[in-house]
Amino acid sequence: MNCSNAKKELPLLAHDELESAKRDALKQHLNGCTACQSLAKQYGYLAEQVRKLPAPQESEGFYDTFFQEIMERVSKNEQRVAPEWQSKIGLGWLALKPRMAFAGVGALLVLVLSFFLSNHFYFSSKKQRTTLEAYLERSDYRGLARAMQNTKQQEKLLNDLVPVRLFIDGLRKLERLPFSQGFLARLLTESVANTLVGRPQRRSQVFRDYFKNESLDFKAVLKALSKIDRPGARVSVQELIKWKRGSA
Amino acid sequence: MKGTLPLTLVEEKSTVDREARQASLFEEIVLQYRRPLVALAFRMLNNLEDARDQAQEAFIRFWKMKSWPPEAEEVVAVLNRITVNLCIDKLRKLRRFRLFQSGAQAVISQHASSDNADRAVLEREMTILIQAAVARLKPRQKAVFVLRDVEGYSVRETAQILSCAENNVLVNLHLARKNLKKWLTPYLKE
Repeated sequence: MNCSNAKKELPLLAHDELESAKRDALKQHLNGCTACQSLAKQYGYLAEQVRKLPAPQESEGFYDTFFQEIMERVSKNEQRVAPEWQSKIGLGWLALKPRMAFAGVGALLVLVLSFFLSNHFYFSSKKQRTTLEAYLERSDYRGLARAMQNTKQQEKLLNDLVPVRLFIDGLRKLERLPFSQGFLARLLTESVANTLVGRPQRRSQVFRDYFKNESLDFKAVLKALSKIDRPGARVSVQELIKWKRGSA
Repeated sequence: MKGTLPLTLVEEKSTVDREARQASLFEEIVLQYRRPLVALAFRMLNNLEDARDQAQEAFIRFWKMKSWPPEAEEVVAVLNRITVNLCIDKLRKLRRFRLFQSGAQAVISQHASSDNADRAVLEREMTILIQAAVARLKPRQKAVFVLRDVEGYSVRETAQILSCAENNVLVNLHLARKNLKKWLTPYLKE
């Protein structure tokens, strides 16, 4: 037996909890190891002291009224009665289990509060997720394409203000994207080319066309954006269109 | 705390007689086991008034058990179980438990810084140090340690009292002994 194993067995030896074979092996080890011997003595001493821990020193008369107090508490529990108003509205049990009652009310409040808070955050986050800036930030072009198919959302998205830098970055990312995710680039290209504004039917056709294999022209859009790219500048698609019209 | 029930309950035909008999039996049980229960609670809580209170509460819960009276051989285990569980709950609630921890640490630190290395002095104070160290144990470890090493119950009996597996008892016991050894090592000199 080595010292590592011996150290694990020493507390058991001190409390006489070892099988005879292990005990003999451990004692053999202790005969030749002074470090473990010292530890064994400490464990033995500790075990002995623990067994000698004194009982509590009760004062005279400590138990005189012990039983009477128990019976008083028992009868007090049995006699606990709810106030009249609680009994009238069917809440008589509150008097018997006040802690449970408070815990139940508290749990209900937490439930109601969490319901309202989660709804608030869900809807507010849902609202945030549907801005053009949000779509661009998370590069969710497919989601943007779906949103743009809804006329009302489309109007809103075209008017949403977006930092110019985000627009530029978004378009650069779009160059690397697969065909079906190039919606925004085509949308902006066509918008700048003044084909969508005020022409909802043409817009629908463009949307359908956007999912076909068409060439992309980012250069015109990027050129337009880079000219107005300044710190803090925010622009919407509609503004780009107006600018393009003015420069055409 | 070990023993047998002083009386056996004979089935009575009259309800009034039966209730009177039960009340009398309960009083006998309280008289027989109040001191050991208070001692057990005291070892858990380190406070005599709290121990008295928890022991009384344990008797009350024992009295209110649906299957009262229990079998004679179960009385001790049931009373111990109720008492230990009440004490564990109390320890967990009491802020004083944390004070015990810091207080225990203060006791140990005070003795650590003492210049008095006299063995006899340390011997006398070892009891206080051990009690302070036991007070630092987590409630579950303390319960196992008190039942097994202080009160002398077997591992199986301890597991029955705490309604857990024997392995659980062994693990908590090992941790308790290891912690006590660690905290008391500076004072266990040759």
